[in-house]
Amino acid sequence: MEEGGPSAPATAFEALLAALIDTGAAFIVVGGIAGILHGAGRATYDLHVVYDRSPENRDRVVRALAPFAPYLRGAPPGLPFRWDAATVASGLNFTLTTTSGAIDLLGEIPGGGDFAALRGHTIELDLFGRTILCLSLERLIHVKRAAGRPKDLEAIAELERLAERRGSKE
Amino acid sequence: MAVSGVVGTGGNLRLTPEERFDKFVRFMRFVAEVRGAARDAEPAADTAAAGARSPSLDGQA
Repeated sequence: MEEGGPSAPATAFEALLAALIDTGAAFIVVGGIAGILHGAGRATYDLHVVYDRSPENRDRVVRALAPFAPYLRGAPPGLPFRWDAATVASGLNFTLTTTSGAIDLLGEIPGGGDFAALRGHTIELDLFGRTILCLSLERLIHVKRAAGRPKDLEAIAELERLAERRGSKE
Repeated sequence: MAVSGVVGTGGNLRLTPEERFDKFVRFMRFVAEVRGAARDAEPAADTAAAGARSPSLDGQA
């Protein structure tokens, strides 16, 4: 997953999450924000979510993000990219930039699979008066290990420390 | 085990997930403000540097 990076515009995490929730989109918060929700103290610049790939839900996701003018992150301007149901149906994982910052919209993730596979490894959290699904701490550690990225090593160590301190069981 | 780069993890465990998220968002806003201030300061710094050089150049002339 490409990061928005410290030089990218600040991501309005609340706005993007609220839009997804308010359209009734089915999604799971993963990545750095999931770590934050579990207590990690590590900065992240983009929002990573795994979304349900059902046609109805793809439509909800398209509707939710349309006001934020999604575009392919890192791509040169002017490409014939259209944010619509057909585009989302023909792709799987989208790394996007929006008017509210960076979001990775993932159909599936290494070591975790798709929305249905991950659904049983989530916890429900209340966030600004809404309920969201967040990947469990144990599964988050598992998928970060599976991703095999050197930059995740410190994050994994921190998450493992959190799991130890919490004594959590999945 | 010591983990480098970890700030306030122990304290975060005492917070609710919503409080953790709010804390993170406030921190990222602060980071954005600092970055914005740094960007705004760059032209002024350039001007100051140019001003600092000018007397020396004038003196040489």
